[in-house]
Amino acid sequence: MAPPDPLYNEIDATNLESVRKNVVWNNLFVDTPFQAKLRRAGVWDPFLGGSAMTEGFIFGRVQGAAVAPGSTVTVTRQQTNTAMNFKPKAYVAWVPLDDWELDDGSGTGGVINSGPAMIANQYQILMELMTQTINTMIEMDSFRHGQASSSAIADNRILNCNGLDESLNNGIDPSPFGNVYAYYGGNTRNGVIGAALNSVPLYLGTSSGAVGQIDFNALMRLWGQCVVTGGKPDLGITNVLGFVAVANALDAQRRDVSNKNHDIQWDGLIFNGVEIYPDPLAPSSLAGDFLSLAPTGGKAGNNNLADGAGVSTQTAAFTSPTYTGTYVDANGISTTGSNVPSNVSIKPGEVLYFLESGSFKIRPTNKKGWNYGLRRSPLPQNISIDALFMRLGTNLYNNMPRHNAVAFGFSA
Amino acid sequence: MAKTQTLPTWLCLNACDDKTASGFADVRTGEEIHGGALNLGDYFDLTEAEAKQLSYLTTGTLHAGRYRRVQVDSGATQAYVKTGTIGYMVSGLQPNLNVVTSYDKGIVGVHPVVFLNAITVGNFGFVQEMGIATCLCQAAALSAVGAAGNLVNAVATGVIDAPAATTTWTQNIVGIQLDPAMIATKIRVSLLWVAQQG
Repeated sequence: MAPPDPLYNEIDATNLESVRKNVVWNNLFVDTPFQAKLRRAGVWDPFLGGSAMTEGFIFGRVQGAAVAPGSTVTVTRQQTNTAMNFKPKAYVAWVPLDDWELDDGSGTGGVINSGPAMIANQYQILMELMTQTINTMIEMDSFRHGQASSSAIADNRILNCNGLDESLNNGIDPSPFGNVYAYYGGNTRNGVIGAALNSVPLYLGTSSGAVGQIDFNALMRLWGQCVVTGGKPDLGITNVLGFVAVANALDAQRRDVSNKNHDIQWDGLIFNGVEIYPDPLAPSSLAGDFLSLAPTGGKAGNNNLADGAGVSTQTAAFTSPTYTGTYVDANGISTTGSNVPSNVSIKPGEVLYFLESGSFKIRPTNKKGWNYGLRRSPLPQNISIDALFMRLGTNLYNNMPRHNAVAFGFSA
Repeated sequence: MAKTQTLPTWLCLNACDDKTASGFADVRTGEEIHGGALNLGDYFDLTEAEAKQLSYLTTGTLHAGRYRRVQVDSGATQAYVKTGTIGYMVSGLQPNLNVVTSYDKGIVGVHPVVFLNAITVGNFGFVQEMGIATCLCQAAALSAVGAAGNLVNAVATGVIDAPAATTTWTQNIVGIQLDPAMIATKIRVSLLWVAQQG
């Protein structure tokens, strides 16, 4: 292409744009409370090594009865406890690093991005973006699952964290993402271990599958499901739009009387000891209207927030299982207490979790190369390009699903 | 030119229509800035998942295969450089695999490529030269019923046709269709072209 003749006009030859140095506005990533709250609850348990993460649990009692004194009994042995098994999952973010352009902090490169003409340090931006990308993947994956696809699980996510969707399930009813998880931590639900690893999802929509409303009764019911199993739910997580629905439901019971300087400062709500926080990346059907979520990615393909499988936590309609036998009542509703109608197209809408934070574990490796550690791989015989990888080995799972509960099928 | 493992692109592969090979241009003069590590002739192989990640879905979904950074010759026919048409090496130039042109201005059969999107003649973008590509069937009636599994050929303007005889190897061979060929429809084709480097 022929250059302009002359090369610069008078304006361009004598002016630069007004630039504020070292300021780059973040118009993509969001801050999220879920993992922060879990870490504060002390569930950070570094993974020190091994082929898997094993968590023992009790599912059975020993034998006993009221008997007549002097009688003999047959003493038998039954299995009472076993263990869950979770694998460490590898998360990586990567960028090409061209030291013609960028300096990596060593001062040896960055022919272009350096000196007084540098507006912002692009290497620093890349570092922060890789960290944010991994955090976003982990956060979104913590609401999804880490199992292989099956007849009841729509997507294969064996490389992802074993998140809430698979833990808060009972092997019979669908999760907010429409999956039924027959296994958790490698154990078969409703088999030898019975309901030990079950949590019954609570559906708040209509019998025809449309979204319903959350109200005080639903919140109490969700709380009750946790408490009746001995749980002490202390953390509520829902999308910001789900939080709107919860706040509106509670506010409907009262009226502000002051008409001056209202201070509605609802960063969080406490309901029966459950601190409910809005998480922009928690599952939602509405958040995608305001937040750029995968898989749509615009012309450059990357202007969205994606989980470790390249999708997001946006909920979508699914068809509920066809319940048979004792699992369905005369009205075609699941008998598990989930309220899920049989064989209906369900709009999951917004999702609310009541969690006992102490029942979770976050398991990042203690090996610094894989705990947000960097690996730089030179491209053979290339004069300036390396591939730069930021890596994290971790998992997130729940040891006591029954102390936690999930509700879905309501709208803001 | 080495096969690159670190691929800098500034847009999805099928959304590039750049005035410079690197994709960088001086905001004032429009002259190329040498940065970004993207060079004319860079080629690379993508898995299905990688190709999908680099797809501008409004234009189409890319599939597994080999892609190349090329310049569309300034003499190409603009209307024939669009999603799914076939291009070739420029007729009359020294052999150059990294400058391609439209069907009507090329040497049919020499370095065939599939255009991923409309690229302004003289500009730079990406084309596909191996793997599973999306090709545009001609608007006129097809020469034969194009069932999946049959050969397809390129014809005038760079679109493809399902020929009556599917066993004859000709210069304008494109590949084996994976979807039934239909008039003016984009279908997936497994390309039968040989790898060339330049």
